[in-house]
Amino acid sequence: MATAKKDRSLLVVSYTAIMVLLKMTVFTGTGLFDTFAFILLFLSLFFATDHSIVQPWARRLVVGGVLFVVMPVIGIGNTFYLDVVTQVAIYAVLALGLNIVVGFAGLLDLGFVAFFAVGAYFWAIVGSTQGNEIFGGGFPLPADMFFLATIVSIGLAALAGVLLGLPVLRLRGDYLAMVTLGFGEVIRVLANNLDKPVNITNGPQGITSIGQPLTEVAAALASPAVAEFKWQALIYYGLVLLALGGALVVNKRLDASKIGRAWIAIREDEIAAQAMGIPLVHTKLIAFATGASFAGAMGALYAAKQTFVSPESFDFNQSIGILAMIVFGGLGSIRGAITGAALVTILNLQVLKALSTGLNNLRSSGYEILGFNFADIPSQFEPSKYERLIFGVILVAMMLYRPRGLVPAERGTLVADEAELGTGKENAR
Amino acid sequence: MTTPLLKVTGLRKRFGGLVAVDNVSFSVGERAIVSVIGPNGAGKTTFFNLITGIYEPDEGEVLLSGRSITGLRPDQIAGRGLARTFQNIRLFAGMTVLENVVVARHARLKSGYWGALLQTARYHDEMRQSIARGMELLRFVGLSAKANELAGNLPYGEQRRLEIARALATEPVLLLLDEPSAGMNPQETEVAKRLIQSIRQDFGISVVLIEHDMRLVMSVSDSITVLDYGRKLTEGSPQHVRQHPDVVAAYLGKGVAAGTAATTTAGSALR
Amino acid sequence: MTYSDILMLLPVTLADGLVLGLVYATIALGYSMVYGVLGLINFAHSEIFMVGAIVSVEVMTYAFVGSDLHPIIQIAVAMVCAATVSGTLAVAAERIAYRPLRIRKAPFLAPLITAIGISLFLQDAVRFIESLFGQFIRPFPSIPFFDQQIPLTANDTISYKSVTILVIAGTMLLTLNYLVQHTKLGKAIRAVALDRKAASLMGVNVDRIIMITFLIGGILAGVAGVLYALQFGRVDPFTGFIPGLKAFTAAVLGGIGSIPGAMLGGVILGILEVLIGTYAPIFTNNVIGTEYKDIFAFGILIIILIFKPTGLLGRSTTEKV
Repeated sequence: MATAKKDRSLLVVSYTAIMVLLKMTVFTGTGLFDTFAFILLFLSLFFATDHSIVQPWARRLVVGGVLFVVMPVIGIGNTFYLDVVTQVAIYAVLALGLNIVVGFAGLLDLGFVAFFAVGAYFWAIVGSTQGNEIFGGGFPLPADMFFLATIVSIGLAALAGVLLGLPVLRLRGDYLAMVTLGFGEVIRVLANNLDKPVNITNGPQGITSIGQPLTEVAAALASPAVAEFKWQALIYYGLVLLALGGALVVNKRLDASKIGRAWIAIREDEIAAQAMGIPLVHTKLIAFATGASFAGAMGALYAAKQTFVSPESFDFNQSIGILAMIVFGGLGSIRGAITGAALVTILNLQVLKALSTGLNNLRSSGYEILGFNFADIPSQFEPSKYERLIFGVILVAMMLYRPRGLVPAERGTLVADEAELGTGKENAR
Repeated sequence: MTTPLLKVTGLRKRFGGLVAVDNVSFSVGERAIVSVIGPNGAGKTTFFNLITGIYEPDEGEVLLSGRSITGLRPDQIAGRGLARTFQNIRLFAGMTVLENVVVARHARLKSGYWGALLQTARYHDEMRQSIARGMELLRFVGLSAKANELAGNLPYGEQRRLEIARALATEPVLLLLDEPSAGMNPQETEVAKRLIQSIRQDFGISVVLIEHDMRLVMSVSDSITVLDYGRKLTEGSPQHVRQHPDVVAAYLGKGVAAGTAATTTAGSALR
Repeated sequence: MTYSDILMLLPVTLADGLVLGLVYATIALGYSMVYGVLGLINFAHSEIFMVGAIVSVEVMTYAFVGSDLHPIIQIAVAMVCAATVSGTLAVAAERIAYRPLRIRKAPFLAPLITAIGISLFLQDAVRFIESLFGQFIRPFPSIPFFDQQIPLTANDTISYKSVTILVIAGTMLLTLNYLVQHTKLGKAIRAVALDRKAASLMGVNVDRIIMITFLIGGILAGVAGVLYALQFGRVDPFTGFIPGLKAFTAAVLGGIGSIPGAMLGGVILGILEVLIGTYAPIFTNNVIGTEYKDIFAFGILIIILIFKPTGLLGRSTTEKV
């Protein structure tokens, strides 16, 4: 066993090395093959995080090397990839948050993006002149207050989660699904309409010129070789990785704790869980608030990164997209949530966009085949506009054919003393 | 006179037009094994559900160690020291055997959310203790070798034993077992019987069981309560119940003579 | 605005509210009946309703524009088409999203997720199909007949349109009530709702009854789609979402699982919504605009769930342990 694992570890490391070389020497652009090479390089992270095939040293080497060395180097060359990875990581954190709610505790939340909106609007308001509309003056807050504001955003989102969860969490689960569905819509309507009597959200126009953190760092580092905007992109990349790391630690620690076990117990059988001394509403509220707080934090970061928020950023598709990520990856599976986030984001951001661009090129070419002019293809057919269809297919197909997802969750965070079991070391996983 | 461990007075529950449990009083002393028997639909499980807070009684009071637990939530009642198993096994099938037992220690662990997030020393201590305690309980029911298997994959008889270990993990003062030998063959029933006796011996707690297997009931119980149509028919020692004409009538219908032989077969007749 | 002006608006407001309420009630019945037999919310129901609305618009546009047929017959044909398509779709949804998971005894999250998946799929599939023919926002052809007015009070009138909707929806609701309360099929449906296992032991074909329940819910949703399209004059593939949410609110308000409850809930919600939509902007000088009526319906949902989760006519149920 041990040698096989060692071989496979070496294999994964060599694979990564080859991909890094290819990406950095041959496929340096952003064309189709370059993107493909990039995805293959990214895949090394997926292999490296599979505990059953890779030894810890290889895992650390590959994950650390790719995320902290290769990515920044590629990113400085071409911020496009950095943006993609940043985007993936933002969704990964959201997916990890929703995974706590849906995957661990079994509470179907269809309005998760509402909590994301809470965080985003909070920093948007206090980090831009929009705050003056409400409080009279003193805004925007200095951009360095961003970190404090993120903490407040976490608190606000958690509070919103508790307030929404309190009336519903004692009821059956499908009520929760329906109510969260409605809540997502409510948040959108509020964002659209709360520009009167007091202008809080600036209505459908959204809020612009939102402050960005650490701009002075990017400015100081700027050089002819590496421009300021690249440094800024790197800074966001770093912040997002930090957030992802935090989210992972929280997920893993809670999963292994009595709270995590209580969530699973509730998901499996509420009545038995309660009879074993687990308070239902309290435990569900913790899940709901924790998940919401992840979204709150990412909301603030998203607002800063985009420097612009509007109600459109928080529609139902987003909530469903995050749900599709965790269903795809495997409900309750931490590695699955990240895998799902990466797959769905790349599908949306790259594959569908590429197809749409292809279609547009075809259209503008004005070719005719069998009397049909490509220029007549309605813009409605752009694949990137069919997110819902894709999410719908993912949800149905996964539930019917692979309900535990691509990377099924593993139980066994608790490991009994090996001596007591009388079995070998490999029993641990 | 000392206060009984469990004291139930005038318990009543109505579902629509049906009175499922009608004015039942009941008490259990320290280190006692008490059985609740009665034909199917006599209200035994409803009686358990009322005591453990899954249903709220319409009338009546339940005292545990002299303190009222009426109207408390099931988790609060479990926290007070009342644990149970279920007639149709309700394990957490997707969790491992060990996790099933450890999860039941929820109310006994002081270190919670923040302890886990900050990985405090107390959190780690409690985790270690919980796992050790969980393994002890698994050894007690003979399942320690299967600690890392999924509970749902265990054979039926082992699932029943795991449910008992899980209930014991809540550190109860009183354990309610709902048909611990249902679906078991005679050998397994014998194991269940020894297990029930050693629960009292090793843990010093009381056990109340709902059971249809008369051989088991008669051999382990200090006292037996008979329910029929939601009402208490009689209660007393196995000897008393065995000879009570109403009990025999309730089980076997009219026209069957009372007698030891008849009542001991009553259980198998019911199943 | 004086009090008499405000009072002047009342009869029309109430009539509009009743019309809207009956449309909600017709959709709500589908939620309520499926919940009754399965104990699950059918998340695809709002899209089944939407498909009915689209079908009716297409039938009216492609079959009847410029036709001499009496408008009532036109609507009747559209209704039959919409009910057929929606009913079939509902049965298909049951087959795909619910039955396999029921047989597999999948955890309860699974059917909810598949139903949501189907719902999303339908939205975009309909959009795709509609886009093939041009715009996916579809206007209901204007039919002068339905704009004729009947006097309601001294000052107010009610349109033929509203009367048609009231009559059709009312008939559907009464028929359904008869079906469920007084026929053998109805008895079987109620038996399955009460105790699936016992009903199956008594010789009821549970799978068939569940399928029929979806079919009935789908037919009602299809008819509601026609009425909605007639009333609001245009539909699109995303039309289903908000009315679906409100119909669900109506079902919960009335007591989910209860058929008279769904009707009562629908009517109450419809009237309240139109009242709020009319008067809130007047009383608050447009600070609270009409857009808030959706939030208001949601507020009602939350309030019922907090204070009376069993709804007005629902009975509390106890889970068997």
